[in-house]
Amino acid sequence: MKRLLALAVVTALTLTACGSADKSGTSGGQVTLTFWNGYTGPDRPALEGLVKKFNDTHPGIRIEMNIMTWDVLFQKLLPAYTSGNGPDLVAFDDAHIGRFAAKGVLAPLDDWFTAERTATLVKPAVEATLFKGKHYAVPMTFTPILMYYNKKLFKDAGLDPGKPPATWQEWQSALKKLTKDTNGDGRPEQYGTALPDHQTIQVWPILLWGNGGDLLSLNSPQSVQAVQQWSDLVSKDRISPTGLGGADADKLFQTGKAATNITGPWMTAGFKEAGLDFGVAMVPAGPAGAVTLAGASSFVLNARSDAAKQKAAKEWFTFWNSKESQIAWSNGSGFPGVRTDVTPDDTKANPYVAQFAAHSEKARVLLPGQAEFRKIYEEIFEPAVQRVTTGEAQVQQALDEAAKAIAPLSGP
Amino acid sequence: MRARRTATAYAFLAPTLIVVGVFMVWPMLQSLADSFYDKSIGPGIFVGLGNYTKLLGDPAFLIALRNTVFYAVAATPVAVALALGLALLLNGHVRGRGFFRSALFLPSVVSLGVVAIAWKFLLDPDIGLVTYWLRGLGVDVGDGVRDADVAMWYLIGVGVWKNAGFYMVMYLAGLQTIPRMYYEAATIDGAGPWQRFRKVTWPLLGHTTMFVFIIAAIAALQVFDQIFVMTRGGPHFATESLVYLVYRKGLQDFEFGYASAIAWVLVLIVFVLSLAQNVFFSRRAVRF
Repeated sequence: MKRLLALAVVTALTLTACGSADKSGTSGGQVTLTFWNGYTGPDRPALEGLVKKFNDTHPGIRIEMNIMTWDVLFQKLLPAYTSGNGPDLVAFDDAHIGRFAAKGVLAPLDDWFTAERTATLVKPAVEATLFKGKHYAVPMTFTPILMYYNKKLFKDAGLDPGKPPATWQEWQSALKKLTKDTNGDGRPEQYGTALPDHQTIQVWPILLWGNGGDLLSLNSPQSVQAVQQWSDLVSKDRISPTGLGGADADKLFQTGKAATNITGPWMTAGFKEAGLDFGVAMVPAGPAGAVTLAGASSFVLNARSDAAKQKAAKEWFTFWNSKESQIAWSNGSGFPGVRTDVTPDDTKANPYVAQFAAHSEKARVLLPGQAEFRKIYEEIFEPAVQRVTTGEAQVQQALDEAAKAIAPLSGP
Repeated sequence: MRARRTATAYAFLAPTLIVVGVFMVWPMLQSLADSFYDKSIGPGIFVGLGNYTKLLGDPAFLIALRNTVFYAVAATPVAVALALGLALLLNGHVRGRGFFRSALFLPSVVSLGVVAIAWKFLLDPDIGLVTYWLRGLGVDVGDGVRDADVAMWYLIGVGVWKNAGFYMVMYLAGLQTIPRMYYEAATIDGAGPWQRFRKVTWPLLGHTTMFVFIIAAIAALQVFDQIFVMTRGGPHFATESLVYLVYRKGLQDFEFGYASAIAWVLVLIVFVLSLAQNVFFSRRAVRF
C-alpha cells in the first residue's frame, strides 16, 4: 500500500509540474505582457535591446518576449488564442492581420491612432492595419523591397554597374544578357535573376503592379500581359529557375549564380559576409510606373487581454514608434522603419537604411485587410504562376481559373 | 492478494497510461468528434457527415489521395525489397559487416526533418553536390524537386533511404530465427542458393515480411517530413500528401473540422489496408 501511495504521489507531482504556470499577469501592481514574434535573424539583438530598454524605463510593466521561428509561431498562435493561452502581443507580417482579425481574436486599437500619431507614420503602413474599417494592429516596421544586383556580373556582361536598369525594357534586356549557358546544355550556369514562387517575400505581385495589374483582378488584360511577359522570360529565355523558395533565391544570388535578386534589407549583412560586390536599386519601373512591395509588420493585441494589459500594451506601441526607438531599430535591423521624420543622418550607422527609405513611398502592402490572404496567395496565385512558368498551363486560362477561385474569397 | 497485485501493476502503468490517454487517445477521439463539425475557432456547427461528403468532391483531397497512394505503392515494395536484399547480404560473412549494418541503420535513427534539409541541398539542381557530380558523369537530372513530373520520385528516394535500414534490421532478426539445419538439409537434397532462398528463407520469413510490409505501408501513407522540408507539397500540389493536406487545412487554413475528417479518412485507409495485409499474409504463413 505504501508503494502505491508513493507512486500516486509521484504521478500527481509530475502532472502538476507540467500544468502550472503563473498566468495571472498582474501581480503586485506589475503588469506582465507576453510577446511572441519570429525575429530569429540578425535583427534579433535590436529588438531585444529595445524590449530591455522599455522594461528598464517602465517599472510597472514587464514584457516577456518569446522568439520562435515563424512556422512554429503560426502553428501555435490560433490554438493558443482559442484556448485562452494566447500571447498579449504578437508581431507579424501585415498580410496576417485580416486573417486573425476575422477570427475575432484581436483587440481593436482605434483609440491609439490619434491624428497626431497617424501623421508621423508611413501611410501604407497605417492603412495595412485596417480590417473592415477598424485598426487591429499598430505598425512595427516597414520597408520597400528592392532589387539587389551583382556589380561584378554586370561588368562581365558589359553592363554599367553604376547604372542599374530603371525601366522594364532596360531590365529585361539586361536579364537576358546576364543569363549565360556557357556549356550549351540548355541549362544556364548563370541566371539573370532568381524569381521565387513559394515560401518567399512576394515578388510576382510587383510584376503585376508594374503593368497595372493586381491580384484581385488577375484576368484583367494588364495582369495577363504581365504574367505572359515574365513567364515567357522564365520559360523561354530561362532568366530564372522555376520552383524557387525565397531562401533558394537568396542562395543563388549569394553564390553568384543569379545576377539580381529582389528582397528586403535583412539580406545586406549576409551578402556582405559572403564577399559579394553588390548594389541596391529600386525595382525597375513598369509601364504603369515605379512600384514595389512593402515588407511591413505590425503588433497585434489579444482581444482577451484585460484592461491593465491593454493600457500597458499601448504604452509599448508608443515607445516603439517614438523617433528614438525607431532610429535604434533602423540602425540595428536595416529596416527604414515606420516614421516619416527619420532622416538619413539619423541612420548613418547603417547606410542601407537610407537607400531603402528613399523608396518607401513607392511600396504597396499586399492584399491589406483580406481575411483569406493565405488562400488567395499561396493556394491559388502561386500554383497558377508555377503552372505557367513551367509551361504546364496557358496564361489566360490559368489566370481565368485563378480569378474565379479568388472571387468568392476576397472581401471589399 | 491477486487484486492487490493487479492494482500495483496498474499503478506502475499509470504514468504511461495517463500520458498516452491524455496526449494520444483523447486528442484522437476529440478529432473524431471535430470531424462532424464545421469548426475553426469556438464550438463550430454540427454538420454530420458533411465534411466527409465534401471531401469526395474536393480536388485538393483527391490529388493528395492520388499522390499518397502513388507514394505508398512505389515506396513500400522498393523499401522492403531493398531491406531484404541488404539483410541477406549482411547476414553472411562479409568484411566490414558491422560497419555496413550500422551505416545502413543510421538514417532511420536521425530525424527525417533534419536529413531532408541536407538532401534538399545535395539534390538542388543548381548548387547541389550530387547533381553536380551526376552532371559531370553526363546524367541530366533536370529540375529535381522543383519539377512537378519527377519531384515525387526524389521524395520516394529519400523516404526509402531513410527507412530501408530499419526494415533491414527486422529482416536480420528474422533471418537469425531460421535454424541452420534447414539449410543443411536443403543443401544435401541438392538445392542451390536460389532454391534455398525460395523454399526455406522466404516462407520462414513470412511473419517478418508481413510485419515489415504493414509498418512500411503505414509509414508511406503517413509521408510528411520530407515533403514539408523539400517541396511544401509543390510545385502546384504535385507532391502534396494526405498528411500534408491535414497540416495545410488544419494549421494553415484553420479548418479544424475538415482537417480532422481528412485525418480520419487516412486512419480508415490505414486500418483497412493493415487488415487486408494481415489476412493476405496469414493465409500464406508457414508453420513448423
